[in-house]
Amino acid sequence: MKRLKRVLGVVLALFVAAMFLFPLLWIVLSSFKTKLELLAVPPVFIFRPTVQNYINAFNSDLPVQVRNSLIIAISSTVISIVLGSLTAYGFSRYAIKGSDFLQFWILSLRMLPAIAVLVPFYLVFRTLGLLDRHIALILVYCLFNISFAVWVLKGFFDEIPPELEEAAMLDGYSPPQVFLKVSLPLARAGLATTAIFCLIQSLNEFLLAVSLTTRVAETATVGLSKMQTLMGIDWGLLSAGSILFMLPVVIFTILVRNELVRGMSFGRMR
Amino acid sequence: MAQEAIVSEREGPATAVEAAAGLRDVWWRRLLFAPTLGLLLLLAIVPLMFSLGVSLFNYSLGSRPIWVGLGNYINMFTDPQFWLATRVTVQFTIAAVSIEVVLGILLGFVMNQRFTGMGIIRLIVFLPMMLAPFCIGLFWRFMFDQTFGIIDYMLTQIGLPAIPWLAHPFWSQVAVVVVDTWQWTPFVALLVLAGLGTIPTELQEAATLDRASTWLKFRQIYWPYLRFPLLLALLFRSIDTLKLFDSPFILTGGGPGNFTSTLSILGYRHQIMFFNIGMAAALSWVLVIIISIVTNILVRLITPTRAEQIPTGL
Amino acid sequence: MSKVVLEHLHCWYGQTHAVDDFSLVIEDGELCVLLGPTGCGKTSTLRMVAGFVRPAAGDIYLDGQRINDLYPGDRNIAMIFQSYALYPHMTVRKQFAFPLKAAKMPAQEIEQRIKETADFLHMHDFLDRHPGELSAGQQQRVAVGRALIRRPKVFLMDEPLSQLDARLRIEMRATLRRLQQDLGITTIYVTHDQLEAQSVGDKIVVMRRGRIQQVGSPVEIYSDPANLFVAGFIGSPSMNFFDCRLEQRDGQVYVRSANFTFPLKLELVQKVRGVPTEKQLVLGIRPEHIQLSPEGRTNAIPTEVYVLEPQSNELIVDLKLGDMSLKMRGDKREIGFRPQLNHKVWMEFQQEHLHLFDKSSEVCII
Repeated sequence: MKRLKRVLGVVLALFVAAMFLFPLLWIVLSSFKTKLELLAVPPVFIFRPTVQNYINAFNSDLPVQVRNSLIIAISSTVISIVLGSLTAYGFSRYAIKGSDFLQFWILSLRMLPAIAVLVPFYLVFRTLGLLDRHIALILVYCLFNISFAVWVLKGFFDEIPPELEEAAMLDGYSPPQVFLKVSLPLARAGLATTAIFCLIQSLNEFLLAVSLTTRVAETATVGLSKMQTLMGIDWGLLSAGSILFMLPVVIFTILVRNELVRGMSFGRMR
Repeated sequence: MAQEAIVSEREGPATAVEAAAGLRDVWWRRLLFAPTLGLLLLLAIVPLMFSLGVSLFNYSLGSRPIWVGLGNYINMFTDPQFWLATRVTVQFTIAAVSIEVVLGILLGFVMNQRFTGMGIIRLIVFLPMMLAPFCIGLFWRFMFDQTFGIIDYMLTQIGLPAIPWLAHPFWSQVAVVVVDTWQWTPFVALLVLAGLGTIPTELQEAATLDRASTWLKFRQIYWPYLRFPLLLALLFRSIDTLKLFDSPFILTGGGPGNFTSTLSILGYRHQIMFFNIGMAAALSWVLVIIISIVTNILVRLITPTRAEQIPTGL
Repeated sequence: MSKVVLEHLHCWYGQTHAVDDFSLVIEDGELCVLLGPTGCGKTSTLRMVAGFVRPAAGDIYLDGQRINDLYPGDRNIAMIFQSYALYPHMTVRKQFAFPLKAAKMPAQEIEQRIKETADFLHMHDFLDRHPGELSAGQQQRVAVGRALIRRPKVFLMDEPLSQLDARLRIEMRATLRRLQQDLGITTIYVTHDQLEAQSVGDKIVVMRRGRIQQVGSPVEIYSDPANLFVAGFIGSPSMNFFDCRLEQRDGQVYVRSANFTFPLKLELVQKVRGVPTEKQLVLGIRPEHIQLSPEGRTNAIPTEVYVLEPQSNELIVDLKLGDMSLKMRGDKREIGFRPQLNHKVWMEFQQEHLHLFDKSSEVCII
């Protein structure tokens, strides 16, 4: 009976994996098809693969767009990690008046619908002439990234025993030095995980990107959305482009796969 | 005399760092909070207030804003499009979140097994939620296509009729829910998995040995540890689906007949297509309020005892 | 000179008055133990000296200089934490160099000091390991080394031995004491273990609920407790206590309790003059100051043997007297006979070690 249960469990796991893998595989497959094969009815499973779509993708605006995406994502992440770690540390070690409220407020920023900030930002950036500039998205993304960073990093700082910082103070280090030399290194894992999640979130964003950028600074998500021409969608190009764009995220995911579960348990793992 | 020196619970420093920091480098404390709070204030409060202000005007880009007071709001509440979008948004949220939570629990248990290869399976399962929702939407649009989409092909292979997914008022909604579920059930499963990880091993072993009914086992052993992660999942997924934009936008563009237009999409339409900034602002504020209410209710459920980290000074 | 003076220190933790009017002088080179149960304020006092807690009132002086407003790192004080607080991400060598780098010491001198400290504590073989790879005993030595390497004026130790197993604890007790004496560094040592306090300290400060109960040498604390609390806290097994009163009969003063009466020796009668006979008192006698005999003698009190606890060369006897129970302790040979379970034995108190306390004020009369 136990054996049967175990086998059932493995089968279920494989089934589930297939469910999630299949659509992705199908797209990967599609990226190697020609236009004819893509639109074929019934769908084609055996075919001669071609890399034409990828070549087209490289020749399109996509590389520039991906570069924009990365610039924006990395910049926003760096700013957010720096500011976020400082504030998270502050919340962890200092009893500020209204600390509870502030933390909740910062966390709630994460819940803001993008559309709510879109309207004012659009107007402001338009007036300042910052529409379609990298800085626009970088700033806007900071809003969400900082709040995420503060929230996650506070948990990591909470786990550092205060005695370590006390010992460092006694050893002659000023509070800023204690932060730099003791607290930050010990929160390394948290910083890396937070950074990667911020990167992923910034890369994947669409609504704000499509509204606040048009040509110069447009991100990959925007670029992909523009691949709808009057003649319909070039699915081959789109698949190839998406796959290229998603590669960094896939790599990042592989890097953090172990942190995923740990990060979600908010430090209460057994 | 000593009474004057009483330091109330709130006023005393929380940690040694805070106590000692008053003696040196006093600027440090300010640096920890001021830049961040300042930036967030600038990026959040100011725009929101500005948006509130804009919502009181009839502002079409290119022409001068005209004061209408609550005019936008009145128009909105009498606009059937608004109510349709609200209904659509709420329907999506309820449908998607309930399915995701139920499937997420099951998926969590399936993922909790240990055998060689589970690591790769976990990676596969957790990949969808890390990818751009926009791209996911694109892929499913390809698959849902009536003509060459693989979904309909598979349906016909097993004898079911092909469904015009993206052109049908009901099935397009189903498609949106399917896509959201596909992408985010792993997220719920992740939280469930984390929750399962907090269960003491002895309890887990007892669970596997015990001959009690599955339901009883679930209630007594697993539920206490899953309650918090599930409430978190409920919170995050509800808010994210209320905000939903990317996938319905790319799947159906909000159609057919606006049957998949969420409030966010409606707001976007006012902004970018009608250039009716005032209305867009009003709409987004209503959405913010809805989300705030839901958040409030759910957060109250989640935090029974907020025992703040209290250091021992003795 | 590193004399520490604490004057009228107060501190609150929430609504609790954690340290209440604490005044103490610790001489240069002295090892002063703060002893008391959990929550008595001993650690709070230590942390005030370190600078981790700002005193709500009172002053702290080191070498005549008021250090209340001095940053912990500027006080030239080192501390051994209960959890050692070793930096997990640094090797032992780096841990030692860390405080010296803060003082901007030249690299060569740092090397020199590390070598000296490692020699002193015999820790060459794990200088390049991380704390996680070390045993508890090794970690403790690293903690000691890290404190030592700065050549501080004052040592603070917060229950430094509590993480070690019993055997290592006794060993390290002696090592720490020896070290402190060799180096002559003024030390404040916090513990809840009264045995540890007695073996390590020059001076013991017994604390309870934030207040100092008594300050004295280990011998003084033991034989002349100031009050009921100190008497009961020191000594293992602890002092036996009986409610009693004084009685005057036939020109003699008797100590009367519920289950026994015996005459007070003449020398002691002097000391209780002035104590009214109605006054509720508590009689205190340590287990090691009770004598047993198999036959009755004048003034000896009959009791019943309840439990026998043999301990290598000693014997602890639990005695029952009516509804009272008490413990007696003695060298097996000195007892002279083998008490049998449930048998009657007669006990006498060594009155030169007898104590009487005022029951309400808890102050010691004799």
